[in-house]
Amino acid sequence: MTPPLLAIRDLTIDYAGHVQAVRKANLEIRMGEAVGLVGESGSGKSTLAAAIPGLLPDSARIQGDITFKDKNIAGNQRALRGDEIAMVFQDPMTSFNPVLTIGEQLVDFQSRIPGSAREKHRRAVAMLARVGIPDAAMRAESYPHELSGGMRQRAAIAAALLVNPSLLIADEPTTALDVTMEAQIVHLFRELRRDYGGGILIVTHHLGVVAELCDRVYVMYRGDVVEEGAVDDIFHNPRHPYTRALLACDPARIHERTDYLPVISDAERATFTRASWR
Amino acid sequence: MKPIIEAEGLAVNFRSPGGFLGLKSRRLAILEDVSIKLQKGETLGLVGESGSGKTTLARTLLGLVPAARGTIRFDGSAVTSFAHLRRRTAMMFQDPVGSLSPRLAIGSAITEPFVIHGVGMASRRAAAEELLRLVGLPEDFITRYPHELSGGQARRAGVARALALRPDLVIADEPTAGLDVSIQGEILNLMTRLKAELKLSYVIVTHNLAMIRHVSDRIAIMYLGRIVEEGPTAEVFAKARHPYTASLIASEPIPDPRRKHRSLAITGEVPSVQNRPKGCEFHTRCPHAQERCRIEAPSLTITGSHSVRCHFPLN
Repeated sequence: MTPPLLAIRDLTIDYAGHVQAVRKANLEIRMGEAVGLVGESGSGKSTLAAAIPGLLPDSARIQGDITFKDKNIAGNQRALRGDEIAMVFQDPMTSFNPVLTIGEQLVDFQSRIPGSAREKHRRAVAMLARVGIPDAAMRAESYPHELSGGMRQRAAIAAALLVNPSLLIADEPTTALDVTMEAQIVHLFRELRRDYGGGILIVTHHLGVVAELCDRVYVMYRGDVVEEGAVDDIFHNPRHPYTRALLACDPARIHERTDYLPVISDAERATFTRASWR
Repeated sequence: MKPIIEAEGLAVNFRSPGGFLGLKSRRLAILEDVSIKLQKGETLGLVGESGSGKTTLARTLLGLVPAARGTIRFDGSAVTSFAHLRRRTAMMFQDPVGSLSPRLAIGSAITEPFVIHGVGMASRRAAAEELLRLVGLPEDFITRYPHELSGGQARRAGVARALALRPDLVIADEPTAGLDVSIQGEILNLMTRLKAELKLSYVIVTHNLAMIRHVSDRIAIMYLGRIVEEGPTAEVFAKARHPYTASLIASEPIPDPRRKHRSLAITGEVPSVQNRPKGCEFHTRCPHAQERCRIEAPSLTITGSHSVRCHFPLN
């Protein structure tokens, strides 16, 4: 079997030595694979994802290995960022510079790629069209605030794909969007998977997005990866009690109308941590 | 049964920016011909995407946004001044931490309505303790500050403050936005329990269809400032009559990998209110649009207790 594109081994991340955000996490992504990373707020999923391109603050201490294309990149991720590894965030308003047009920024993102400015502009417009932005040439002249949330997220995905990364990390890519926009972005990812051969990591708390898009999924709870498997297994045969509880309280999975929705009680939560304690 | 609140033909206009250097400022219609009725003890869900006018409608019902036209009746009598309504209605705002003053301890924040309305209480501490108990927060939260609370706890504090004066009607703007599913359930269950205990009626403003399906008796679907469909929740979900409602329901990602969507239920974006489509406002995105839809705006057709604004309704 070919080695995985990304392999995280025993990764522990703590802040100033006291809070352990991630404990001995293992995660693998292969080329062409879409992997989901789910968990509630505070589970450590975004911290784990941000560690891959080296986006954690200096106060974070990282132990363990991050192997990318067979090379250990822990502590040296910055060299790969925006080149081999690209990232899409929840709110693209904060990832674009408000005083430059989308087109100018998409040209800048290609700074490490050879080619004339004109060529880069052409590529930027082509990429905007590919992610489903109508009148791409005109939209390239727009400033970020002139685009709707859905269009900005498309532009952010275009920016990420421009550098032709081997790994695309999307952190809550649909959380800030309305239902119909979310469906469109999910659809866009699905379409992109047809011709994008790299690996995709989707970090989300939305189980529906994982079910729609991913091949495999990792479930995190309070810093631990508690379960990992093929999406079909996780959704239809979850083994960790936390995964079961999380699936059970998603109202979209409850078909009969119910007055009281299932929740996860504190007593139940105590059993998850004991079970996942080393 | 008597309705607790009833609105008829509400219209709200905002002024577009302008009126400078010869640019004429324009009147933008934010709500157009909106009528709703909420029976006592029931929950009405107001559903729509950003810009559909759902929050504006909620605020108009409480007089926080002035209506240009239309009437509102509360508990059987026409509302002429909203000041009289303040004690009997409450609003739970969308951002619970942002709507609590960062410099006010939770105990003071949730008992502020008593002070504002000059309602007597045995002691402020006792009132605060009782409210905290009501929403399931520990009593020592009296001295906590909003930034020390988790999202779910801040939501509970928001519920406590809304219920301080024991209102009859609570309007909750996105009560579960930004919460994890397990915490969403806790807040909704709390609201359901208190609704029965305190005989409340709710208007819940949300874009979360999976949630509103369980907690509402009736829902109104809004698009560009109009109600396009309204009816009993179960019926609307089982047999959506407006193509927009149908595509909203079909857009929800299904948390089951065996039932993946293969195609897109709806393309395009909600048009801007500055550029309202002619005829039926939904025709630009409607899969069933015909010539008539581009020319003539449909009126509301009522069948039984289910109404729809469409020339060619489904089902």
